[in-house]
Amino acid sequence: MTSTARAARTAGDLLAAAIATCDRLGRTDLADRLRAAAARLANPTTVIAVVGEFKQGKSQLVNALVGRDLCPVDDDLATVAVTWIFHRAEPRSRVRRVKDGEYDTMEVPFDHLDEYIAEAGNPDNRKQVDLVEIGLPNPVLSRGITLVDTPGAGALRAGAAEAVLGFLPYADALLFVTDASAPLSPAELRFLARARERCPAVVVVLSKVDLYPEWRRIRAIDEERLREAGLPDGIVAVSAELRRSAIAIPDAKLNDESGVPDLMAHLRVGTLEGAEREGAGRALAEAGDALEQLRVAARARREALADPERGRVLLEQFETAKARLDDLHKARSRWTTALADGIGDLNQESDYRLKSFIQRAQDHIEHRLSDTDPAREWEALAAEVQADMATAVQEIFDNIDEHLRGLAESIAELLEDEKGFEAPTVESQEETTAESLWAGLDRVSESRRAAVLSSALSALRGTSSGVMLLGVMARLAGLALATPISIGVGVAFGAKQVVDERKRSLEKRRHEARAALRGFLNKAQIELGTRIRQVIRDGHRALRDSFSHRIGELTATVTSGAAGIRTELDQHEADRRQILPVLDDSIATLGDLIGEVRTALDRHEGSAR
Amino acid sequence: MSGTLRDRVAALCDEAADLTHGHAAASAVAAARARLDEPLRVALAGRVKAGKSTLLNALVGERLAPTDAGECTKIVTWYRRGDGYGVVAHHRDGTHRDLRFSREDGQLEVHLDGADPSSIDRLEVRWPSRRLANMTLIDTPGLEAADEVAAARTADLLGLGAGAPSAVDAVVYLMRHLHRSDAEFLEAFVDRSVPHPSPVNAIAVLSRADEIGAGRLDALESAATIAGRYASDRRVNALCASVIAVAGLIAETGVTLREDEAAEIAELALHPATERASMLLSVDRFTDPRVSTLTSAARSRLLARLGLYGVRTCSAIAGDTVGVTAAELSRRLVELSGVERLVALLDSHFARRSEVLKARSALTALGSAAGELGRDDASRAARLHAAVESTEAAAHEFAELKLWHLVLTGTVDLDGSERAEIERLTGDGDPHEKLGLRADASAEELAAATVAGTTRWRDRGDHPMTSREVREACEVVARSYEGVYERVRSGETGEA
Ligand SMILES: Nc1nc2c(ncn2[C@@H]2O[C@H](COP(=O)(O)OP(=O)(O)OP(=O)(O)O)[C@@H](O)[C@H]2O)c(=O)[nH]1
Ligand SMILES: Nc1nc2c(ncn2[C@@H]2O[C@H](COP(=O)(O)OP(=O)(O)OP(=O)(O)O)[C@@H](O)[C@H]2O)c(=O)[nH]1
Ligand SMILES: [Mg+2]
Ligand SMILES: [Mg+2]
Repeated sequence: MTSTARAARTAGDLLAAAIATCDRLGRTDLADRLRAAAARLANPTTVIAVVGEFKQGKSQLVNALVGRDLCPVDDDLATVAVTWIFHRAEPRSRVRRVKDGEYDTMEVPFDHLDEYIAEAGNPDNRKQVDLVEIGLPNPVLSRGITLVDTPGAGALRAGAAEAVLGFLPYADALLFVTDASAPLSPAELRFLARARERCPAVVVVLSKVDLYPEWRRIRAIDEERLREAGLPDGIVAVSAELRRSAIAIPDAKLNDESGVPDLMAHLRVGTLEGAEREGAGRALAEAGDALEQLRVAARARREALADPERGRVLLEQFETAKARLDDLHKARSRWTTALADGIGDLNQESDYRLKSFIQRAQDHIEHRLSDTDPAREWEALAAEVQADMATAVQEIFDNIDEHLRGLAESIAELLEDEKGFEAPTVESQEETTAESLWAGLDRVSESRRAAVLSSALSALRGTSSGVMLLGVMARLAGLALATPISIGVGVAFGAKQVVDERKRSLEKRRHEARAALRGFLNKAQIELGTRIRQVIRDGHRALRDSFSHRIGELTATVTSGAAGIRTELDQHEADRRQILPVLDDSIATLGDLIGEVRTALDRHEGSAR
Repeated sequence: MSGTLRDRVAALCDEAADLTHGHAAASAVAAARARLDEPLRVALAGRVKAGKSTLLNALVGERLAPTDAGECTKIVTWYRRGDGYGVVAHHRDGTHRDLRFSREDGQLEVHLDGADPSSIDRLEVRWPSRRLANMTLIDTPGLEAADEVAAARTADLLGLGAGAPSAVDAVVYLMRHLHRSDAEFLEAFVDRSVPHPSPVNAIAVLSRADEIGAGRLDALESAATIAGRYASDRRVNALCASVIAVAGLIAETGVTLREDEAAEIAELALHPATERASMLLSVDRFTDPRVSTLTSAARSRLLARLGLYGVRTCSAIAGDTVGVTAAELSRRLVELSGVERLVALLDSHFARRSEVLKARSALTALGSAAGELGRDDASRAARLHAAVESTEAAAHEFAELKLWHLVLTGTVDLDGSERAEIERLTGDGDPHEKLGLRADASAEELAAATVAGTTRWRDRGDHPMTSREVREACEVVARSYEGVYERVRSGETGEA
């Protein structure tokens, strides 16, 4: 057992203890939240995306890691759809497609998947597949790894690279694959830099080392280039081919030679444990937060018990706080209005961006058509428009992501202002300083906002544009940009007598090309507009739900605190003397647990660095 | 206007020389004129490590150009036919000087003697090789090389930058797969090749073909299939005339294989087949000191010469043929490599069209010279432009070139014998060659054949079911026959 596994178990135990405490004190709302956190902790998912230029051996590497030929491998272009592979007791494979703007998921048997994933069965992804998921029982994946095979960057088809980049924020780690035939190219370094902005945990894999005599020198050159580009320079050399033979024979020594076990170890230490550590940290923070809420309520009771006069002051503060929280709950409170306004702005801005892109694209087409013959340039023109479109879509979605995050932050800030004002204070006997209720709640997290914000952001992560973007790209790729009839190549032979005819038909060709491109842009605008609004709507809902949920929890805390105070104020003197030590005891127990959680959390943050 | 295309363009150059007399543009005109009588210039271009230098060696038939796994070719190097051996550095400031050189394992090692490589525009290697007789081959630094100065030199050479037009007439473009940047380079190259932009002067090679098929024994067949797929892709057709798969290293070693190497291969073949298969699983296994009686240094050398595919293939051949000779292995390697098909394409696409390709280059150069002149003397520049344009418009050869491209790419759909007829008719050659007649055919026979040809193609074009593309193609062919007719009538029969 590694140290992380031990730490995670501790985190699990602490979580179980915290859940029991919440249950015992009647706060099932907090207990439920922690139960969800505990479930995530027990079944962590680490998404590892395998990316790189086309034909570098990405799919073969995925197969080598899984130990089965799942993804199509070919000497010619192969992968056209993003493929998720994860552990599942009952094998199941499904294909998600975009049909008339809606998702359509169907089960497809393993041996028919190539008809959707592979270029040969699904040229240029005409079937508009945006995701393929394969669940199967597998020892390598059983630790919560989801491996994601992706279409290669750099090939002629438009949009594939952008779609993969758009998906990356969703991944926990990247395997960037480059083969040992030649040093990393500038295009690869550019792609790597862009990918890393979206997902910082990158492992560079040098592939096919069985085939290239000079792979060690190539690795040295690559490391040098990575260093020069300011990228992490550790490179793991593998041969997926040898691993494949090793499994087929089977031959343990050959398996070692393949380097795949080393890569797995590297992933385990660098990626998996990192992700697990982070997951444990998040769970611990949530436990600490819930326990602090319990303690605030308990302390309030104790204050009332020890000093009824002060109890009444506290009660008043708690009730004010509850009233404020109730206000926050109302349909049209300041924060929901601010959120709705922010979303409105975002809708408008995205709309504007889309419109101005379409406008630019139209101008560009006009400009290009004015001095070219579509008969000659049609393919290039169509490719340009599609590539520009992919880039624009990527930018629009990136912007939405960024904007939603910013919005989450400002709402968290606004909420803090509202509730922080006149917050009730609870003085404790053991601790000399008076702490605000809210400060108490937020003590576990680094900053006040962090606790609220982190749950809001993780709510966003599930809905946000990454996965959606894939669908959009698949959809765009499917919007046919048909070649106009008059643009059969081969009109101009340079002969004088056909010049007039050429001119006339040139006008016709331009006209038809313009119409075809316009039609494409119109369809794209409608398609994209719908998608953009959908992403924003989902983001809006996620933020609203997450903040309301948080307010609900705080309300429950304040309510239970107030109820506790009331009960204690009604106690007889004799009872008070009896209850006081019990309550002190329970506060101390809570304190111990909180202390333990905090220590565990510190340890985590220490080791994460 | 009459005479051959070369003569007409040469006359145009003389006119241009008068117009630019005393102007800076005169030197470009003189260069364009001189180029007309030189062998066709063919550059081997592609991204870094595409295998350009290796393929060049295979074509020259000698290991001349240095090759390496790391970024290697840093200076544009011309390999020209010469009577003796020599290397000259042409500096960017216009000066040039002879350089010393030695040979390391065959590969040329040029001693720059302290000269700064970035000050050198190009190296010129003169070598008495038969293979350089009708083509000057130019090795280039990789496009997109990390060494940006070197990469920029290649871009300049090919006329991809903002500066002078291309200094080469045609390009063999090497690529491992069609990467987006390959498409961009080819596009730029095609674009710069005015007049009549058309990719007729570009052949694309899927290089290091043995590796495309991951070094398996059937690797080259797989690579050929992929090349075929690219060749029938319209996006690719717009960029180059043909795509074929070639394993340059296999070809290079094929043409230079020595007896001692053949003997080493024979020794390898003594291992039982299963043992051989196991030691050829990976390059590391193969060079492991313990696996064979053949020294590991010898094995590393073989690997460098042949690659894993080559070693696998050769040891399989040697296993089947007791006492295999270097000659036999050479023959098989060359055959497998696909280089012969490339040589045939170079002949049919480039060598047999060198006149019109060179004319194109000259017209482009003159157009650019006119532009330069125009900055100082608008009226003379306008006269030069007009002269260039009228020569260009009157040259039926360009229409033929375009036609050839459309035929090649299948855009104009003709049957096999029609294609062969067009290839013959539109290539360089004497009337009897163009008409497919005996060398001693009489003028009457030649004339009759041209008239028959003209009529046949006009009739075919007039058929109501014929598509417009084919109709226009037919018109071009008919006029080509008329052109031959004029040459026959003016007394040129081919019995020269
Ligand atoms: N020798 C050798 N060949 C390999 C290895 N891994 C992959 N290949 C070969 O490399 C080629 C490409 O492999 P793929 O896995 O399809 O590559 P990819 O990056 O997924 O390609 P796309 O999906 O088209 O982007 C195939 O011909 C494989 O046989 C390896 O470890 N050794
Ligand atoms: N297996 C195999 N290797 C090849 C082939 N062609 C070239 N190579 C190897 O690839 C590497 C690069 O070959 P070069 O010919 O130097 O490539 P280049 O395009 O000239 O490289 P730069 O000049 O650096 O741009 C060398 O290690 C060659 O041995 C081939 O057909 N098959
Ligand atoms: Mg793949
Ligand atoms: Mg080279």
